[in-house]
Amino acid sequence: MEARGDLCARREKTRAFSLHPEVYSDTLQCMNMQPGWLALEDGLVVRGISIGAEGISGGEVVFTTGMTGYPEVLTDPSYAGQIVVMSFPMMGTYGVSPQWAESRRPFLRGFVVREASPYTSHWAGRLTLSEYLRGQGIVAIAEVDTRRIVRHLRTHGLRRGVIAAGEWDPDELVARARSLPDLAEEDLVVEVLPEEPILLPGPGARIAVLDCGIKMGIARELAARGCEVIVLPGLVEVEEILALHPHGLVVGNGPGDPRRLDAVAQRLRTLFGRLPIFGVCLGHQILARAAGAKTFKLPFGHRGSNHPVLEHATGRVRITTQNHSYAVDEGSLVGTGFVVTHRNLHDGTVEGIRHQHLPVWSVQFHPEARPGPRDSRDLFDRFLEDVVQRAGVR
Amino acid sequence: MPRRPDIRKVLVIGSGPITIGQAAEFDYSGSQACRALSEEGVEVVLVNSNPATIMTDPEVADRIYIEPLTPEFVARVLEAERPQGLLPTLGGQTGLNLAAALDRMGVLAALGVEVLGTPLSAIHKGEDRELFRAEMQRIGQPVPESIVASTPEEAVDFSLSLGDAEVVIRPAFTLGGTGGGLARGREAVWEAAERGIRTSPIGQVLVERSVAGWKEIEYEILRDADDNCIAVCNMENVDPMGVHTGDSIVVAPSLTLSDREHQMLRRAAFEIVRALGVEGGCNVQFALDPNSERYYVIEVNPRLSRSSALASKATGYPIARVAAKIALGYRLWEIQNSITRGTACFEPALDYVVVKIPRWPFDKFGEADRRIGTQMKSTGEVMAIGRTFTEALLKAARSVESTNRGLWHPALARMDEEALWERVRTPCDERLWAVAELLRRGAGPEELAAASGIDPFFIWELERLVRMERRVERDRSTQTLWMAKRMGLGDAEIARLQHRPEEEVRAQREEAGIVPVYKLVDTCAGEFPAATPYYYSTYEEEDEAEEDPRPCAVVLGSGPIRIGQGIEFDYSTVHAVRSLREAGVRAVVVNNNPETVSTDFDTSDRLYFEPLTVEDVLHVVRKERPVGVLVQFGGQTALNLAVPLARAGVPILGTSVESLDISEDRRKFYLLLDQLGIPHPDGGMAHSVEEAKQLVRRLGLPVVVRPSYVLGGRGMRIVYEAEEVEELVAAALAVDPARPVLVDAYLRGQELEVDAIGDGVNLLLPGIMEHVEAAGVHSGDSISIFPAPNVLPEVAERVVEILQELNRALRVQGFLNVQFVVHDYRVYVLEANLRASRTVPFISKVLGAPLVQIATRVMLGSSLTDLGYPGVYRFPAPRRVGVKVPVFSSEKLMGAEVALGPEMRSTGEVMGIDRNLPAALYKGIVAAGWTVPPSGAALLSVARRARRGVVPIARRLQALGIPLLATPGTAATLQSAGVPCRPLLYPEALEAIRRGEVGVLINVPTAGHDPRRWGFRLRRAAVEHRIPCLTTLETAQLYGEVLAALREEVLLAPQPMTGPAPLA
Ligand SMILES: Nc1ncnc2c1ncn2[C@@H]1O[C@H](COP(=O)(O)OP(=O)(O)O)[C@@H](O)[C@H]1O
Ligand SMILES: Nc1ncnc2c1ncn2[C@@H]1O[C@H](COP(=O)(O)OP(=O)(O)O)[C@@H](O)[C@H]1O
Ligand SMILES: [Mg+2]
Ligand SMILES: [Mg+2]
Repeated sequence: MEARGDLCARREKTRAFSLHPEVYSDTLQCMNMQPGWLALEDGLVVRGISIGAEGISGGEVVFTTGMTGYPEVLTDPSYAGQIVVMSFPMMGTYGVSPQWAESRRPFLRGFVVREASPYTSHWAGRLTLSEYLRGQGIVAIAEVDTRRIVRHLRTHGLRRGVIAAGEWDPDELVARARSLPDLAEEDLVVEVLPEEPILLPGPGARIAVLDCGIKMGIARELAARGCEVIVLPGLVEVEEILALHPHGLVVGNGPGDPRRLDAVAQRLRTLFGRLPIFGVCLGHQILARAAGAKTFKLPFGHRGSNHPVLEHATGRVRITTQNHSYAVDEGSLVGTGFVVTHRNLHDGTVEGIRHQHLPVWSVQFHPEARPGPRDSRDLFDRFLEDVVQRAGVR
Repeated sequence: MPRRPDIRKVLVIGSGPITIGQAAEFDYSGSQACRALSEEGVEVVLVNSNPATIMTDPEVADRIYIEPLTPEFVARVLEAERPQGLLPTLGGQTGLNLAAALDRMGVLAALGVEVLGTPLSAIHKGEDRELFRAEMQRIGQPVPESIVASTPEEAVDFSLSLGDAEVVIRPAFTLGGTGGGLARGREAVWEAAERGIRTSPIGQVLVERSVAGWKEIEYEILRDADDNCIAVCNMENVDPMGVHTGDSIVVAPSLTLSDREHQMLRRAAFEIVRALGVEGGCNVQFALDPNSERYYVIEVNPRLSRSSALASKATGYPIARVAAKIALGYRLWEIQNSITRGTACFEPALDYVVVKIPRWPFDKFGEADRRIGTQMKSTGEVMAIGRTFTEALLKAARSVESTNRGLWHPALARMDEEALWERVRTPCDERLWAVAELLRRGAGPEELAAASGIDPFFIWELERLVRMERRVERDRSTQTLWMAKRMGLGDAEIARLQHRPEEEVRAQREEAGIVPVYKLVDTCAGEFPAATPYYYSTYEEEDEAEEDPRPCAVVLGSGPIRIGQGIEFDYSTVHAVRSLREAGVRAVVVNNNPETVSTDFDTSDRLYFEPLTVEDVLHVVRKERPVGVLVQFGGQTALNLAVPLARAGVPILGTSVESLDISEDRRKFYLLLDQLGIPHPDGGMAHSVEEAKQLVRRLGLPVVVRPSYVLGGRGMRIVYEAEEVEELVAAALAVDPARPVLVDAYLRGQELEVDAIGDGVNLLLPGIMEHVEAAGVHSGDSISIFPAPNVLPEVAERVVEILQELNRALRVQGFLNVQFVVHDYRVYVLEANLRASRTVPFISKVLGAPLVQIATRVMLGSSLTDLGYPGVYRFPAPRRVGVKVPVFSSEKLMGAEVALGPEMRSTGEVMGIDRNLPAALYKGIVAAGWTVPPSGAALLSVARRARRGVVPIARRLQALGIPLLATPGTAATLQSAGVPCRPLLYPEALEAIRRGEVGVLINVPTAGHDPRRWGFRLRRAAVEHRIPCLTTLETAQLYGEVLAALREEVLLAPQPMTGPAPLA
């Protein structure tokens, strides 16, 4: 058992492997590509090629594990302030099309992929990924070891980082990452807030949707059920909401720390019992805070299309789309009148709450899917049942 | 809902022999499920006719029956064992059909056996095409317009009613699309429908509007009794609708579907499994319009399948294990994901791309139709994992070990463009390579996409590869090398493009630090820490395979299942791994076959899912620094790597590379035999037709001709005419003048085979196998009896002597497989293989002896004396006799030769085992699917040289009351010998088979491989009508003997197998 080929002894060199920097930059030149960089505050720097806009951009670096649905991810306003790393390596394979957009434009600060498809092969695909990113002014990089970044974030928690195109000094990039403000200090909702209300006409119940950066999928789901949907900028006053005489209220998703929206929470609190209310994602966190519960930041959040959520009432599990860094603190729900209805099977965190008596409830995941499984679209029906019960309108 | 306490004993039905459409995947799923059941304290009873399976090992099940998979035998097992439950969804279509039959016969009800998991009602709804359609219409899922036809006329009328549209014809209740096909136009539809109706056991075909050219997408769904559903994986077929998923190149996950499309189909799949009431695993196939979101449901398989095995390996998610737990009553979320230790109720996220390429048997069937369609023709497949499509595709391409070299195919490179376009337009096994070749010659990707129906995305990816090839051709820089490696090009391909040796490319690459890193298949795209040892290589930054200081050995697997290299080698690989682990050595497996147990995530200490090439294995060796590599278990694939690996400095465990080389090189081997004074067939090399003539003159006819180049599937042949020898030699030399043709004297006589284990001094002798057919029929295609009943003691002594001489001379350390022919009372050696052979599982099971374990210990350095087998140690004769019967898939390969010959053609095997030989023979042939007694008359049609021999056989059949039919020449012989028979002209004989009058065909061919000959057509007709087709006199005689024994009421009770004694 002592026989070891000399080959094995030669292994040291390869162990310390990391590609010679010259090889790499030469390679980029061969490909007529600009370099692209991602640098984290903790010193991790990766270099790839630029596939998006020129320049430099900073934010919180997060990863998502969904294998399809990059156009929806790109246009999900909840990613405002963030640089998104896609764990699935091949992106852009079916192009980008306005029909897959979840909002008017991308709000994320950067996009990181392993390989960006240089062509689009889909009847609906209009632009290649790179064309779209350039057109929208998003800094984006490809040809990097995205799995390494994912594992890094998973182990060390989410990090601030900068993404840059062109020639840069790595140390400077790290320094810049360190000087970025904490995401929790940023008023991201303001960035994504719509200027005007949007009306989706329909013959049924009138539903007000509070938009702190919602995915239009939420509004579309309601409209598809015949509702008259009025999407209101998230910071409107209670009076403005009530003036519309809605039959129900949906508080949608959005970016950032829910603590920064405590003003909204305070307003919503006054509506408990006056309207059936349904919260989604950030909306769920705001409702919890309105009830007096606390929220906290998860180590690296939940982002992807494969999270199992157990519904306590039925013992049934649904596979859900998730995109959040914050969660409701279960202990702090005691005495608020709210109970936990849904729970994440991976880490046991709260995925849904409901008031014991009032028609106010919410879920942390995205029942509107887009991207992701459509297993939870029945929740919109349930909400409309609340509306029917309360207001007698369909 | 936790597990049901009332289920204490469960019968699991295996899938039987390996055939096209039903390969090793069921051993993988079955053994994984059995372990999951045992884990729960359930007593597992297993029945399977295939001895070369891990599931029939005592470690896997508590009680094992190697018995024919017929309702009668399984009913007897149920009676003897009285389990509470039956799990039919692990044994493929065979398992389902058996369960359905047992239910119909009332056996299940009478014995109070409950079908666990997916209920039979759901299985019916999924399997019966008409019920399925009705169910789909009820829940509003779109299915293509179709009718069920029982006559060809109905099919024609239907196609006319669609405006003469193309239709697809599919028989009910068959596997691998047997007897199906696409057809347009009155005549074609009539013919296809007629064929389908014939192959369907219920005489029905589904005639359906064709959606050939649409995307074909599969989903693997798991559902529990609470209606929790997950989609483990989706897969996209690169070859669109019209090519069977088993014959398609497949990627996972889908790459050209938008999220909307993916979610739409996933949702539809859920609704379908719900409507059926599946509790366990289910495969759902869809056709998706490439130009809209329209789709159709094509079919479901409410069981574990080839696709579920692929999905398991592609995602790391153990589908069979979870399905088994669901069958015991667990809810999905109560089951643990063994990889992340989290819940099994989630959907795997991949952060890599998986490509599967099928492996077809056309190298063995030159005469067969190479086109592929709705009927599956491949015998196996390879899978590769890469971070991008190009990387995974190229890894898969170098894993298939066909005549291709990566994406380049020497024969296609010489072909004219029109011939290439033809291969693109009409799907065939070479299509991928034809597309690549045309791209090299400048064809437009759009044009190729239009001609093939393959999504442009995949063609563009191929074009990128071709562009990279061009760059590699003109530029040897490190940068280009880096880019090429990252795209997936193998060193061998780069070397070919740059006209330099592979070693030089490797040296340059290593000098520049361009070596792969290993990433984990963790089911969750890195989101959670994972405890699994399942890796693949890629050219990136971070290496996740951590160093493990414990000593290890690398076991090379055998790659894709193909004719000649089947599941037997996976059996040996898995046992080698076990014995390494028992010996305290870390076992590292390299293999690329997704259907196998050896690539299950918990079989080895580390699994590298990688191509079996010098380059890829060297990388693993560099990473693991093993004490050595074991090459004796993975068939020829592993053995062929021994020399190049050794040359690169890798220690090979067991028999030395020099000895391996001697055994592999016929010339060197004959030289050694001459030195040792061991007789072998006389022969020589023909470098010219003239030399061939001289050889024939010297050796006399017939001769065995071995062209070193396989000519359109015509490998080794026995030739009776001098002109034919000359023709063959001329043809072979025309292909490659540098490679001489071997011509040996043909020695007719009894063929014997031994799988011994040697350590260079001592010899362990399990016993001798005897072939029913005389030498001249490949050992893999002969019926083989163990222990040999008819070997003279002197012959046996001589066999042992020879083995011992070879053991010493070759300093064997491990397996020594030798094939002998006894000719004129002299024992000749035909060949020796210094590796585990196909028959190792067969004799291990008959003996109940851990042969692979012993051999592995010897390879690790123990002597047989240490292990308790000193000197020439003979195992005590087993109390039972085993009969190995080959199983062919010829009915699935249109135009393929059926007759036995020196080139192996069988895809699998079964074993009959019993206390006496006739009973074992009976079980063996019944398990192989022969109808005994025959369902009609015996049709005799034998070559002139066999006429005399057929007389006693005919006489016996006649005495048993079987009516005899014979073609003119044979009839004349029989009549003059006083055996009455009805003479038929050839066309009448063919008609008699078609009408179902014939129950067995005895046809010894005059010359094979010629589809124009009547004999060939009779044989094809027989296999297509599923009647036994016996092509040697020995086989026919055995058939007669079994029939006679059956008369005498031999006891035919199933008997449980006994386990092996623990290793000393
Ligand atoms: N309507 C159709 N039009 C075109 N091709 C079809 C159609 N239905 C099936 N096929 C092709 O035939 C293959 C085999 O059909 P399938 O129903 O899956 O049978 P099997 O049970 O053999 O898997 C499919 O994989 C698909 O490529
Ligand atoms: N000289 C010969 N005389 C008679 N039969 C032969 C001879 N050579 C080979 N055969 C037959 O051909 C079969 C295959 O030959 P073998 O050399 O074992 O090739 P393989 O490597 O494919 O196993 C043998 O099993 C035997 O039946
Ligand atoms: Mg199918
Ligand atoms: Mg042989």
